Amino acid sequence: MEHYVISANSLRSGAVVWLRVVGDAFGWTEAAATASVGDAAQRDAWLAIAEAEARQNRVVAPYAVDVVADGAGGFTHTSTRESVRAGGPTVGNALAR
Amino acid sequence: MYRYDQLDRTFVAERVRQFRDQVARRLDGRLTEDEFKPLRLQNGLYLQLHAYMLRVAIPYGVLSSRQLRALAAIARTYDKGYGHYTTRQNIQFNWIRLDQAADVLAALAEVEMHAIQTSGNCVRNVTTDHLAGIAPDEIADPRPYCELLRQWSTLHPEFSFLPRKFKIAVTGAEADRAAIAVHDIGLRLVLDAAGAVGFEVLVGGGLGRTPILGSVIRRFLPASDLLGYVEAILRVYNRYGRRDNIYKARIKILVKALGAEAFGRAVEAEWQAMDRDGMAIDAGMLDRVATHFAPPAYAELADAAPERAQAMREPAFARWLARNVLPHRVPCYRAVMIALKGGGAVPGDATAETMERVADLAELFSFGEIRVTHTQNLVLGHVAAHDLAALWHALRVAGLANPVVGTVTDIIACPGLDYCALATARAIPIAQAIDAAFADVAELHDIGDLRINISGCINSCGHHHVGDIGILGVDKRGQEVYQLTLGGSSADEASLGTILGPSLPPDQVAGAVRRVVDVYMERREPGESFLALVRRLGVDAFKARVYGGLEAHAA
Ligand code: SF4
Repeated sequence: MEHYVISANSLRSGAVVWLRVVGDAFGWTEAAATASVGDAAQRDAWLAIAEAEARQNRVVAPYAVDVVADGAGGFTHTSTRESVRAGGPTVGNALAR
Repeated sequence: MYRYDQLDRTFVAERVRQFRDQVARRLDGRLTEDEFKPLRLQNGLYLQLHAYMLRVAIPYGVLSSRQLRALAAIARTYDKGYGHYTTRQNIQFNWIRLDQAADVLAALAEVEMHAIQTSGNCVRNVTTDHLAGIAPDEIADPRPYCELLRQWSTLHPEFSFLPRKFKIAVTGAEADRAAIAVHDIGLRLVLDAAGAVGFEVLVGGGLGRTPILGSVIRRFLPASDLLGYVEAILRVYNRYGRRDNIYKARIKILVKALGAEAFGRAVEAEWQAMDRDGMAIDAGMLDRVATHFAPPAYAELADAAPERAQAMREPAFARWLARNVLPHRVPCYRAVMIALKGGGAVPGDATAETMERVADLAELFSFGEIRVTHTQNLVLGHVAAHDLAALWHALRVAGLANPVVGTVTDIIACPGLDYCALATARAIPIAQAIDAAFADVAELHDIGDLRINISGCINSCGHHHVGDIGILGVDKRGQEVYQLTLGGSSADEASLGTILGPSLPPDQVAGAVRRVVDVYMERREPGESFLALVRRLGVDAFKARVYGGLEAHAA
């Protein structure tokens, strides 16, 4: 089955953020590991939430990311691009700080 | 260097104030993202893979120590303590918060800097030879002309919405260190038979997915006609350049479609029709700008080469002299290159501490001036020969005396997928792997000049088409692979590299580079450059070794 997480950037800081949904509540987290993993139906509903958040000027450029769910609420990325985006630069000065 | 007058200061301060207001309106929702995005881009603020990135213009790559300290302070206060020097002689900060971006611009304005026209479809930062005013082979100093072009192009109302971005490079020397053949307009200062200064004008060069070398459309343009003629080129481009397809919008596509000769005729016609006298650079104007680039107060020094004696005693010093120290047009002065490379460094990255240390040393040894090279290094341009040993010791302590300038490990690499939203693959780790594979400095010196350029996508910010060895990162079904090209050059007799063979996975790139270099070392004639050997043998001689070696490895 296909799985997704919803990501965006914080408008104010620019940081990469992830949508976390718990029941009816939701919020944005900077820790990729705590993003909510959903199926195709949830993806559409969550993307609608994210787009409303963008209209509320909290995030920019939300989108759904394909992931592989591990069945225990966690996930791994399917492309190098998305894993680098989630994990930060893989080299250099960014690592030291 | 150029100093702002009251007009410049007021203008830049006004822009900061406007941007602060725009950000406030974006944050409270009065501006939508669609409305705000063009405004932030006009101030050099991009949204990259991880965060907002601010690109700051360093006009023609010249910085004062005061400006460098300000950049260091910005890195420390508003970023994660480092910045990245680009192939366009700019600096990028990778982690700027939107709610602090106007503060950063205000800090820049304090030292007469800004981020205007570092993005968007306008005339970008004009680049030049990092040895301008220094090199012994210089015909005339290009910087006053760069400054005139900068003033002319800044907020030029007619050219704020060109079909695509527009890059101009100027060289004033015989050896082209500014890569003019791969710019939208390349200008080379030349003298006519009577000794008058003028420009050879190239148009339509560029890299990206359609790499093309520029064509000469005028052999000699009197220097006083520079602005009018460049304006005529921009007008022809602005009118006929394609706006329907972003991949066909650069001037190179137009020049190719029309043919350089027809394009040149259209420019001449446009130029003849304009008020040429009104556009002429008169002597007073040139002199006023040129005073900003007056040479520093060089001392009259006697000893011709005081560094030699010490070099005899210190092999490490001798190696540094051989690679990082260049001749100066003034006797007993030298230009010293500081490689932001080697030892696992990220090409072009500098920490706040490094920038401050370089600013200190520039004040002590080089009249407080620093240059940024398009190869992502720094230059202290005016060092007295008798100070070289002291400077070397100080650089060594700071870890900045890596004697690798121009060698295999002086790699140009764009930020690639570690930072860039457009990237298809990482560039920095590949540079680091090659760096690790060529850790032996004696071997690097034995190999000599060899340029390796790496881009993380076909936009080619890492100039891979014009490296002796070019490396392009490509995405293959979500995985990074790398395509090698050989025989590119951005110098005189510029050429584009030829693809060597099938793409390689990341862990095989450094090994492939090693085998290419082995072929060079085995087959070169005395004094033969890598480029000359590739031209003599063709790429197949290298291909057999690289891919043959891989099969042997797999077996
Ligand atoms: S070449 Fe591509 S990956 Fe590298 S900086 Fe340019 S756009 Fe980004």
